[in-house]
Amino acid sequence: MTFVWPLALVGLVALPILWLLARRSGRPQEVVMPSLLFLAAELDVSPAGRRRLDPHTWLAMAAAALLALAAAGLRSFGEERTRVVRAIVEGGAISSVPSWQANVATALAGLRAQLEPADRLDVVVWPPAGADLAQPRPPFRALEALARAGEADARWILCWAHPAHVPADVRVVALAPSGLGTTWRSTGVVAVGVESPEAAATQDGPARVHATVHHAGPQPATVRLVLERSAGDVVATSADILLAARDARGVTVELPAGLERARLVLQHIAVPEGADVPDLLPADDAVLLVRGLADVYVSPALSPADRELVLAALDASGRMRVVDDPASARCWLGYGAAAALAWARGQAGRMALALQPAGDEPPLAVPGDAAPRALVDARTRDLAVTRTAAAFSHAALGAARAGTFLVGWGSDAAAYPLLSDHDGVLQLAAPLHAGRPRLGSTPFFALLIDNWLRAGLGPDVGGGWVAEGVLDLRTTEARGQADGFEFAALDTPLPRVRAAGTSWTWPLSIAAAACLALLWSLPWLRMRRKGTGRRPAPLRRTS
Amino acid sequence: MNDRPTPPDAELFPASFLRLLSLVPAAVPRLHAGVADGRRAVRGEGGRFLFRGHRSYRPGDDLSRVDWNVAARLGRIVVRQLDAERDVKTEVWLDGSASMGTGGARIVGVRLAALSVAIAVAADGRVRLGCLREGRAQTLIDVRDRSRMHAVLELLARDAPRSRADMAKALPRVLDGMDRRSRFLLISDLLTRTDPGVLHALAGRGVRGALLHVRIPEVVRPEVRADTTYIDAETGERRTVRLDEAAAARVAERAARHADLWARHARGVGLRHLPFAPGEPDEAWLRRLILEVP
Repeated sequence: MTFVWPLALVGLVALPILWLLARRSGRPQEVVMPSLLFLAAELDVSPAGRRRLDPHTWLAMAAAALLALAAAGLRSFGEERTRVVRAIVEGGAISSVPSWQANVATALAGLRAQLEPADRLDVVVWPPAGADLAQPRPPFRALEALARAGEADARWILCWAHPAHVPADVRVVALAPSGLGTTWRSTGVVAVGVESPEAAATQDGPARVHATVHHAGPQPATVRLVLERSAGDVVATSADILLAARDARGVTVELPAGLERARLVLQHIAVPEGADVPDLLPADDAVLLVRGLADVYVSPALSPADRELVLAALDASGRMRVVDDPASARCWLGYGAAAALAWARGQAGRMALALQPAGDEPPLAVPGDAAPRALVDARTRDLAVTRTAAAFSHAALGAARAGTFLVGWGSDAAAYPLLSDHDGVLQLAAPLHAGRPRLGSTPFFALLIDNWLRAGLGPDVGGGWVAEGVLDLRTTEARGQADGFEFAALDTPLPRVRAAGTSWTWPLSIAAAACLALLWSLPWLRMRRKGTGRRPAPLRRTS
Repeated sequence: MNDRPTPPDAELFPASFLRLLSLVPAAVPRLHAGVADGRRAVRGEGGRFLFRGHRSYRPGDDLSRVDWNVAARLGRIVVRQLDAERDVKTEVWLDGSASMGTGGARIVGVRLAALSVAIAVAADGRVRLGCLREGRAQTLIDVRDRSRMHAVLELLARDAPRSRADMAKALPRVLDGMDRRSRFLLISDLLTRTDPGVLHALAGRGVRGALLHVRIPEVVRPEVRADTTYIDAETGERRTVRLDEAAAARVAERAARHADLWARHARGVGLRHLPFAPGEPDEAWLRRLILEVP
């Protein structure tokens, strides 16, 4: 049995109160009699008999109890129903850590062990498999929003490490490799800059690449950077760099002229702990340098006015080149989300900007379980526009591929610049103007285009070069928990979920009403009974 | 100067009762007019009609009382002795126990006592009013004429019921000291375990009178009640009893048997048993006292 409104059970307090009142009122009344001469033969009433409650009290107590139970919404238990457990597994760059997959499998096996055969386990890996590994790890809030999306009886997050604050409705399993101790290392490139010959002190010298290498391991390590034209085709090498524990050093590599695309690779020279200790996160060991303008395909469906506006914005950014072949373009610009999504799905790592709905295309729906989230993009903030933000459900996120930015709208009445990033959170900025905006309705349209392209294509590292795959420092710093592998959360049993059973509210209410009616009619029934009973004999004269 | 006496307790003796009391002297002869001869007892010398006997003439005797027929036949002068036409002494005894102070019994008791005294006085009789309490018979007042009725009322109002009567000791003391052929009125609720055979001390003494039985409804016909603790007014004894209809009927039956027992013994010694209950009109009591008390 369960109760819908258990607080109403406070009404049961009336029972002892009624009982006490009945006891108090049932105390024998004291009457002074001239003599007990004729009462002497009558038996005394026992104390137990005096404590016996009368029907009025029983009926009142029964009515009070039934009313309290009815008000509390008494329901019988139904049969146990299938439980749905939603597990969000951190993916992306962290999945390249050795033993990560094994730990995930172990955790999921532990989770499945708690489930009944009828239960269902929904596993969501985010970012999904196949996503660009050269992207920062998703923040915990993104995993939290994904865990809370949809109906589930228990929500789990399987991530690298415990966050500072674990929400109450979500359980977290930290899967950082156990037993790291002092034998692990995580070295990666965390910042890249290209120094052009014009900017260098030696005007006629080659361009140079300055990279910052961060080492998060507990032991020193020796590394060097090599610049490859293609895999294995080394064109430049840096000096060997000795990195102390948890140290960061700048490394310089010459950048030969004539290169349009190069790959900066971090090589480990000396590993004190032994060669069999791999780098914890290989994803941050390589950075792709691309020189030149980004190819942007502008849909011919744009109206001449909008096309002119877009081309002006692209030209103002100075980083884009409009191409006619959509297959070779890294960015797609046009109307309608459907075309943009189709384009982005076919080409991972690209960016689609859907500027307006196409025709009668329905707006993107904001899921009801969207959780608010602060907009953190500083560049958008600089625009001084009023902003709102929402974290979309996983289903909505499934429309966006990792590394794909989608700019869209929220409704017909008010269009929203929509920004999706790879951490699984869609960001919504409020309408820039009331009503349905036009592309040119904001004076900052050119700046918005530039900001979005910059965020999608990668940072401009100078000299006309763009660096792709520079991971966030927090990703490179990923390291094991102090306690190692954390499976303690799996010991918490899953809740038993029962389907709602029969409601007893109405039967209890009817029974209470019957008790009250009987209580009301009891004196009347007694009067009728007395009316048919014997009447006391009148005082008679005896002589 | 107002020399009128202060009125007695207004609750015990309201104005209507006092008016009724003032009518008693006029009502007694009228009511007695219909009474058959021989129902009234008179005693004492000085009358004109009730012949007692002869005695020798003594100087100073009224010559009109000389029986000349006897003198002619026997040759000696005798005079006729005649009883005065007045009632015998009436003894009115009131049960002064605490039981007579509950349930309206006191009103019944004191009014019956007052009416009995008034009737006896109106019949030109002598009255002794007394109280039975704690085994003693205490005389409250002797009344010879109507002028003392106010004192009677004051005494009755002042003498509050209390303690126990202890009839087994008090009644023999009253009966043993009673004159022959006197009238005896006992006003009591008879809620006593005393054997009514005590009345037989009056046997053969020509005493007439009545038991004025004050029957309190709470006792003789109790109400049906839930659990109730009854406290004896005299002894303080407590009994918790559930008086359902059956139990109430049993109690009423016991009370009736008790009254019958006292009535039988009273009849055996020439007393009548007259039940009175609270709430009855004073006029009815007066009429019964005049007509039914011998």
